[in-house]
Amino acid sequence: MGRYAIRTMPLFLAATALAACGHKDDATQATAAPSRAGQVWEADHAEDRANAPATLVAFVNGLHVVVLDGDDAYAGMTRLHATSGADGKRTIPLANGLGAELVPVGDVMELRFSSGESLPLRKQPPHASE
Amino acid sequence: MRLTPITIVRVALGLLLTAAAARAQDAQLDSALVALTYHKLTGDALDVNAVAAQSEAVRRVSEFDRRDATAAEAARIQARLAGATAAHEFFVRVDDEISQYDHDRGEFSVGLFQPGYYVPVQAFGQEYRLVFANAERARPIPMPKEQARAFDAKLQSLGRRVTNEIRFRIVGGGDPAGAVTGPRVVRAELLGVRLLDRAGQVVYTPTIAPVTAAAAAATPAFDAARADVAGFRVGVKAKELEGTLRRLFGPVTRGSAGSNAFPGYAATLVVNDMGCMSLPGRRRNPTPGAVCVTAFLDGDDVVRAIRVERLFPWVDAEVFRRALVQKYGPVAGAESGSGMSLGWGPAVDARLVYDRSGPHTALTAHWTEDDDFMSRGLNRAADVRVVLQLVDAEWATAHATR
Repeated sequence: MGRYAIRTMPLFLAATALAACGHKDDATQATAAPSRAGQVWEADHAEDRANAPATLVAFVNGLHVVVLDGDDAYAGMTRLHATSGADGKRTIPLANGLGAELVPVGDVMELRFSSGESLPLRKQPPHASE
Repeated sequence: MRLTPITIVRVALGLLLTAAAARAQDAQLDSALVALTYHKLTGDALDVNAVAAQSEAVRRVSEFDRRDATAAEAARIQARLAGATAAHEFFVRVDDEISQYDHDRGEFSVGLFQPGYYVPVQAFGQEYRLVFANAERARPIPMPKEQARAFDAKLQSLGRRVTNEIRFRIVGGGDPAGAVTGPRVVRAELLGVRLLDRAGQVVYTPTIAPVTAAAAAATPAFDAARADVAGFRVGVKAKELEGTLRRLFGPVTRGSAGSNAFPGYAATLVVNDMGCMSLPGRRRNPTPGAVCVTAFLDGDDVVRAIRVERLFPWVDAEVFRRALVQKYGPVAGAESGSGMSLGWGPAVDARLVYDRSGPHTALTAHWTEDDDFMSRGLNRAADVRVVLQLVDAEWATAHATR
């Protein structure tokens, strides 16, 4: 028998509670992000290799740069409904059973995925053109 | 490319077992039938005459009789090909091994059932790569810690080696996990699995879920109408996209599609043009965190394709594959040459894809090293560029012939 190194374990998807009923399903239509309302948050410490896996998951799901406006999160042109919980946490259901949690930590935010990754978010500084 | 190499677990053909396990058929795997079934189900053409000409039956005969022998052998192969079905059950024993205990997940892993592993099957002078569509369900050996300690001790006494006894049937081609690429990837369904020690005693019996149930439980089928790349979609008005891009990323540049653009493309919206790719000798190459977006608009100012790129510090391609398959489900195509490319959705014109060597599908994802070797130095790992692209396949099909 040939001996070979074992590769990285594939992830299991953790079940995540969906947002409360009653919200219109925006998954089927695109929604422009508000031009001024809310706050833009972005992945912090982008150069940090330790954050790369979580940042990649965030990028794939449009959350690497996101507008948060109350309980609405705009991942690109996809509006996601967050459910507010204790201690200011907000839970966001994503595609195919994946979920995310936005957790305030002082002046910053932490984005935690149900698959185990987490990364810090910071308020995006104004763009050079502004 | 720093992908962890695809690991090959060699088939132990004809391995004899003790009487305790002898209830299992000790028949050698019919490699030719595996290959023929693959070709039958996928439509991947097999040059029957060429295969016949190289066969042992033809090589044995004299030059005088070779023509007739080739024709007879070709007819025999053709008949077998015609009779191949997805209903046929195969049986194989594979030398395998069990991983170390994962304390975080509370489980061991069966080596062969991890992404990227396959059983090589030699037939007709070629290698066929046998992967199992429902391997993920069979992969883990979950166990509480105290129970795992004793089990681990047993595995250690075996050198962590087991014989993986597999009953399967062939269901098509391609690795739905996108981890095993190349030609002749045979997709199979596990029907029954037992892990045996050297004496033929059962070490563990993994859980098997049928392919349809397992696939439905994991992720739904790709839906082109609802697809997005990093949250962005096609079919939206350019004005709304432009406003969103400006809010998220800053300045947006509108330009023409160019004279060589795909028919129907009239304009582009671009964020950070050429800002996600290192160029040798450029003074300020991009750094991790750089994001670039290119959207292609039709004459009615509707977005018909969009590409989103981001630069990361080094991140393994397996992390990329896992995240993409989690979001979009089983891949329709995968390529691994200089990087890794995965594809979903309907086929599109090759002129529309980001990487012509990759899958030609409506949605593609690409992992490549951004290797600015002139400035990064030898001690630093390369950055990684991830590109996600979505094309409005229905619109593109209508315009391809114009």
